[in-house]
Amino acid sequence: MLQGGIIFLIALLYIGLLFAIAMYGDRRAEQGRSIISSPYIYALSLAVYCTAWTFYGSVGRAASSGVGYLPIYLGPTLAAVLWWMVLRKMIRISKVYRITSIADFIASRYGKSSGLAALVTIIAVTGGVPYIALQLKAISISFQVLSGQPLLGSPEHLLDDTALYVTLALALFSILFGTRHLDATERHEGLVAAIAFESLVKLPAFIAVGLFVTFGLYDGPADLFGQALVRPEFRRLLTMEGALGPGAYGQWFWMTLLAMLAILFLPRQFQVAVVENVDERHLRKAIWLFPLYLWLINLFVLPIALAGLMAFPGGQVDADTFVLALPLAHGQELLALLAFIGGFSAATSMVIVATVALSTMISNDLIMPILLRIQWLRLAQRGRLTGLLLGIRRGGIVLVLVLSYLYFHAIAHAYALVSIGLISFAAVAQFAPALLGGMYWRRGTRVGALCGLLAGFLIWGYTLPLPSLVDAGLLPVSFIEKGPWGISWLRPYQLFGLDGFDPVSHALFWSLLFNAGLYVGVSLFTQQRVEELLQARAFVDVFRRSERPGEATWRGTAYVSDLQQLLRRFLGKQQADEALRSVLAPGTNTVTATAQVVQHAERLLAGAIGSASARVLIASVVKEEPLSLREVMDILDETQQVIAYSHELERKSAELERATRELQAANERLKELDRLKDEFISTITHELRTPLTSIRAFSEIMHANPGLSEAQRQEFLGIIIKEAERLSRLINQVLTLQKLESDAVELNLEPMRMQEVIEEAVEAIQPHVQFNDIALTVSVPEAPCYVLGDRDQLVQVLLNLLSNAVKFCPPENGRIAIRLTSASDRVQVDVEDNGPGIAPEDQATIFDKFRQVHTTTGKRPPGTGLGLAIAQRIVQHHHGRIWVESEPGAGATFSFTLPRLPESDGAPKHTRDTSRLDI
Amino acid sequence: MTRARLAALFAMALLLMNFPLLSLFSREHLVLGLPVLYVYLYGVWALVIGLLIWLMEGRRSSPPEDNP
Repeated sequence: MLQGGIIFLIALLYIGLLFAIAMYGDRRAEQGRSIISSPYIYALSLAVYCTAWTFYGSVGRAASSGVGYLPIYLGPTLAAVLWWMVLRKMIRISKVYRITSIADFIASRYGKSSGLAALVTIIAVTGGVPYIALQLKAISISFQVLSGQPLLGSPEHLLDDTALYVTLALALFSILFGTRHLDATERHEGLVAAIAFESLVKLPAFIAVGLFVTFGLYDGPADLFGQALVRPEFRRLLTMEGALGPGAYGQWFWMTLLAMLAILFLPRQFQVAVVENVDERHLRKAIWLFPLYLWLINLFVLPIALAGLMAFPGGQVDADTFVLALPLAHGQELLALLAFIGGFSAATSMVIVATVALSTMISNDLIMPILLRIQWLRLAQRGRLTGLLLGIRRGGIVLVLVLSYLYFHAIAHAYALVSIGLISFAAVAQFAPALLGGMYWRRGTRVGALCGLLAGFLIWGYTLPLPSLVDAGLLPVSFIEKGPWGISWLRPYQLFGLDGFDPVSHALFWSLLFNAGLYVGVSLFTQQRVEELLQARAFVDVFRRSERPGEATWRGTAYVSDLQQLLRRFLGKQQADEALRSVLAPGTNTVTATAQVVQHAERLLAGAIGSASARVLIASVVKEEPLSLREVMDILDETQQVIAYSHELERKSAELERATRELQAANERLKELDRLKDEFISTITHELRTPLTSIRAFSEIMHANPGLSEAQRQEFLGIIIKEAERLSRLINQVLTLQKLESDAVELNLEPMRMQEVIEEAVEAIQPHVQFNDIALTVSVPEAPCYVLGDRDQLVQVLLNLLSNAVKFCPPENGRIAIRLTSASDRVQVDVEDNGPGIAPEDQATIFDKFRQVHTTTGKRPPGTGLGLAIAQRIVQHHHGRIWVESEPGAGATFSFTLPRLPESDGAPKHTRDTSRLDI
Repeated sequence: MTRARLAALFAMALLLMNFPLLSLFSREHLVLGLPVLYVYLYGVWALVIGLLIWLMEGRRSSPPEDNP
């Protein structure tokens, strides 16, 4: 056996080491070189979840209920899967609104309500004290086991109680590193560093014991299980029903749910996971590292439990102490000491974080709001309050530890470690409806949250801690068995007659049922106040909001100097001035504060003293004009409108862009047209000049030479006349084309037979054809093909095509064929010649103005080059299509189509009488 | 996408760790000398951790979406 004094000294040395680590962490933080800004440190600090309960209690639980210890670790693993959604949102909300405790979180969500803050604090403290007492008990027991003192029964003298000294040392540590200074972010780097270190101690310590038992005492796990299961009394531990009784799966489910909620809502978990979080991205690694830690620390629980049961049959040793007793029984004192330190580290880390978290709540969410409301204290008007606030926190730490110590001595003796822990878990599970609902449901109201929490808390108190007073001898046994005053449906373990549940599942079911039911039900029938409405939106939409500057949902008159003084009183001069400087940019108004400055100041203050107190204090130094619900809705609508405006703006800019593109395209087209026009003018000038030059030349010759022979004179005059004719023809065609292009031409539309049009055109071209010795063939169908058109124009089209064909026909064996065909909806006219044909590259442009295909000899063909252009425009005006098909050397076929008039319409109207149109 | 995958993993883990699937392994058998219920529970647990590592660390190429 180890000497009690030596163990005590080692424990104190260990705490001294923690002091050193915490001091180092704090110093590094002050230098701006944080040692805890790492996902691994973050994950290790989360392992503060593994307390003495895990270290000693799990083995005790496994010894009696087999797998029953596992849901407490499977639940957090399940919760970790959802952390990316849930915990990340909690962290973001807390960072944006500077929330420093779970009470503050809930109170802030429901309109910075001091009532809720106080209720949550009371629940957290009530639930937390037994849990801390559990750690003190574990420390005390482990000390007794290690030093060989008799178990069960307090030391005769208070001063002999090691737990007392340990409690005092822990109080000192928490005060030193938990309340060193007042900070608007409420982070404690040194403390977190120490906690992470403790996680590095307890895991190897437990695994060392596990390895010793499994491989030292036995020949591996198979050997251990093989020897254990020879005894039939251990076989029941291998199945669900055998280990947990008939309601095994229900109990299993409720325990898992309970642990899922606990990992999120235990005040110490909130402290390390949310408040002390340095960087949201650390969550990414913590999500799998933390479950991995749990997996490892639980690996040897069952082997140790079975080995303990085999080594100490008949319950001569408390199963909660197997971790220490097994190495001791085999003379491994150093290993036992290591296990003791591991258990000690598990217990101390929980006590430190829990007391700091609870004391922050007690000061910020319970005491301060009350003090600020007591008018005659005139606290808001007093000088520096930093000292007062830190004093309250330190008092809170001592209070929590004293309560825990008393609880440990009064009640906890009679209980197993796990049972005490579960009572605490069930208490914090009550935060779930108000907190989770508040993060995802805008409609949840303060009154709803209050009712739900209160009901859940009362039922929890009635069904779990109250019956435990029976075991402690403070209440008669009949209270549990027959109910108070013999009212059987009030039996605390079978409330309303509900049977078949174990006490914890039973309590959890009833409390959560009433809690969630009242929260939702009352919320649906109560109205949110202005502040609640704003906070509800701020919480639920935090990911959408945090990038945007705060909305101006505050109105009133405030002076920067007032706010500055207020901040200085709580944060100290330097911190306050630095914090304010960030929002008071140079050049801005430094006399009256804008809504943003006021809101920033309130958030800063909230970080130090909680949102409820901050609200009261800010209200005391600024003159606020209350906003009505109507106005707030309007403001929120306005922000909605601003969003809508920005969408509208985006849409308009897109439209503008499209318009610009269209304009650019139009501009390009105009430029092209302008270029074409210039080209047209230059071409036409050229075309006009050729005949003019020749007319002028011949006229000058005749003018200068009066003695020209009559024959020569006649010849020259003939040329002049021909050139003048060509000139007038050209001008006519240009005019026609110009009219066609400007749509100024009026079509004298009438139904007509296409056959007649062809007849007329052929008649007109006949002399020309005969002169050139060309064979012209016409083939038209018997049935009349009616079209609606301008007869003269259509004749012009045909004439242009025909004269074009005549021009290109070879001097001998010239052949032109005209064909008329009709389909159901259109008629088609083909004009085919056997000329040289048109090269494919020219076919697309042949209808352009002045586009003349140069013959193979390079000679310009006769004609103006406007004929086909005119034909194309006319056909287009008749909603037809014109094109050419040709193979060079094999002639060309010009074709055009026109819409065909239905027989019934056209037939009776095939007269040329246009007077009808004039009526 | 990460969110949907995590939600699916949660549902899977919840099903695997509860009645009735759990009851299939509530036997007194030993697998490799180890109780089958424990092998199953620690196995599922390890599987969930492995999938979490894969989801959170293995797909760094796609940046995590910001909520909501």
